Amino acid sequence: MGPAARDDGQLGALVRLRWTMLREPRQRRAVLLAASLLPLLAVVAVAVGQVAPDDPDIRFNFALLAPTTFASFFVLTVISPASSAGGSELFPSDQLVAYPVRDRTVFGSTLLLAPANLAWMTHFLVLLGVTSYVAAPGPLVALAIVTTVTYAAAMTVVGQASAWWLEGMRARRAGRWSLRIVSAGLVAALVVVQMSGNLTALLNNLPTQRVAISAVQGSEAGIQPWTTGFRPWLTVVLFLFLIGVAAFYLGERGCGWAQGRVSDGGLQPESRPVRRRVTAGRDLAALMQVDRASVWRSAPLRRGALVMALLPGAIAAVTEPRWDSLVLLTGLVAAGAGLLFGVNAFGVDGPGALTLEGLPIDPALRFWAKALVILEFCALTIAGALAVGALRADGRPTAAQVTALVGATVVTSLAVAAFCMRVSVRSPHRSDLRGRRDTPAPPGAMIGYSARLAWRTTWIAMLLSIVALAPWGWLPLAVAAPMALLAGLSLTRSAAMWQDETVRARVVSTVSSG
Amino acid sequence: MSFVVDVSSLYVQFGTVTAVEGIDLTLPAGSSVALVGRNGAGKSTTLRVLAGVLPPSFGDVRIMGLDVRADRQRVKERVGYCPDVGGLIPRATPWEHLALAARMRRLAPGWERRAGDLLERFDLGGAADRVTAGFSHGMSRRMSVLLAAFHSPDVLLLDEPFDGVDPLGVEATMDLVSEARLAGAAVLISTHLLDLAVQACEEAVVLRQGQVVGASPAAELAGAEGAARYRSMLA
Repeated sequence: MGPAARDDGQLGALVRLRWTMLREPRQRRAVLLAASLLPLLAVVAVAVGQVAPDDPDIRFNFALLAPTTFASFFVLTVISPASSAGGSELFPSDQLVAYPVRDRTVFGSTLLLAPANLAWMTHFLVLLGVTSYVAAPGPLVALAIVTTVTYAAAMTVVGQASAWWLEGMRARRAGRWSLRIVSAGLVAALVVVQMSGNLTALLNNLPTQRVAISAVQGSEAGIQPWTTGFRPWLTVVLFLFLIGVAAFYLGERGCGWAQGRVSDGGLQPESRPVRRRVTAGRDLAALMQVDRASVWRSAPLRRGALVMALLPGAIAAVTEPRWDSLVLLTGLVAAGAGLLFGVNAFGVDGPGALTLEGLPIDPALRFWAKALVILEFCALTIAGALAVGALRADGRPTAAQVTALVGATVVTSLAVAAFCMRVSVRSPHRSDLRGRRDTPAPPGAMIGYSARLAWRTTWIAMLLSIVALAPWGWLPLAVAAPMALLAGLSLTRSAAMWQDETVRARVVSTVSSG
Repeated sequence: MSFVVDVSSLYVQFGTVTAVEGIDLTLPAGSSVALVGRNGAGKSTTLRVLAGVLPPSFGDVRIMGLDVRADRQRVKERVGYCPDVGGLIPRATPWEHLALAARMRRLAPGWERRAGDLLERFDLGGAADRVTAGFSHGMSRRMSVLLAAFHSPDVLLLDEPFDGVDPLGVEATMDLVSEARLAGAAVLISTHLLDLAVQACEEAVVLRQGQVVGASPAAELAGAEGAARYRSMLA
């Protein structure tokens, strides 16, 4: 048996172990359902693109935007795993120290889980929808979709590979500073390009233009000769495939290099003292202080919040969005923020959950402290995303657009807090998010949470983006109020569940287990 | 005689598993008892019930005459509990742990002095403002012990307080136990380390499979003869 086959065996074994660890049929059904949702939605996205009204102006605009959409997917595939120190793993690395896990297995597991990410899924579906719409209608749209899927796969491998190399660089001070300087330089360059009015020209000349054109050529191949139809399509698809294969081998090496690098300690803020603060005067505020510290002192959570606050807004800004379409951002960002830690809110206490439970505290206060911290975390990241997205927004917002943005921020944050607290109480997991690649719950659960959160927040945001078109400023607030009330009721029900000492004991035992 | 800790026919069940099966236990003020036994004997579960962290399935558990089910909050005010699994919030500092405890336990102004003193005694003064995620196992144990004793509780529950702790830390813990007893507190220590249990406590209760299988003065379990007797109770 060759080395490659042996490595594949390791990954398969880890996947099977993860599957075995889903003890209840209910959990397995939920994971299967969530995993089958992406192909299902992909088919829907392609179908919608094909049957959408054929307006030449709109189709032209979409064709103009397609290269930018492809490019923003690439940016996402690099930034998303880079912000989580290489991406999510099937098992936290500390649980695998006793096994000779190969670099290829680690890299493969992060690659396997890359699509289990709300932003990745959303963007992938948008790519499919745009491709399907700009491609020629008919069965040959399948060729256009092959281009897009190959592009998405190749760029995901490239992004994952880059993330591991960046992670290796971050192990040393010089590497961290180099990355900061390069990042600042890129942002500065973008600002200069924007200020000089050259951003649109730049976006119109992105290399992804070739990919978008190839997709269209593929769909029109049947009506053109080989040299102007199939051949350029096939060339681009093969090129993308080769990029993906090369990136896989480079990524495997990057993963090994990053894991073998001894950190100089700069990534362990635990070793540095923090400023001593005055304890808040009220019990609830004092508990919130501790919960905030648990969130904001975690480097992966800080980075995650920053990415959620900047990336979706920046991608939206590139498209010079309408104010009502910015409302859609709130749903995506709120769901992403909730997935960073909120879905296992008590997990951040780790073993300290036992000590907290031993203190003479009203249990309700512990619940509401967590809920409020999730709420403010979501609201802050949404505010950041909206601020960035609004930089290139189209014109001045109407009263209804402003109230829709405010209403969507409040309601999506509340809905996320309500969902997070419910699953935190019902399905706790041991994960104090100490590791740089830790997630609040195992991969299967995270996929389920992503799908359920996205479903909820997308509907809320879509509804409010529609009412943002109304001439009445009060309408979005009137629509938001009952949804906020429902989320509030859900929170109250979860708080009542938390009051049950048996439920609390189960949560505390789970999150504090060693 | 009234007992500070009074446990009668305690049962704790997790689904179909019975972790504690009919334990009776009493501790008068100023006493110290070691709970010893093999892994899974029910020691930590018993301590969690006494701390008000885990509800008992059946039985009567009273702390200072208060029922742990009915008077959970008041029980927690009287108890100081060091859990067996670290017991610290990863991204909070020792000082923040102490400040939160002072706030929630309504300690009088001036608690900072005792907090500083305890941190120095447990050799954690220099780490008071570092998040506990970076602590070694021994440091976490020491911090957990001092946090349990910080408010001078009537009942001090220490679950594996010596596990992975260096000799100076063990000494500081021993001193703390002695002080608590002198102040009239009842001290219950769960540990695998028989020698240290004998040293720290006057009585020892041996648990096996959730039941009490022996109780004697701790000194009787000292030395090779005591160890042999202890092993015979575990078999």
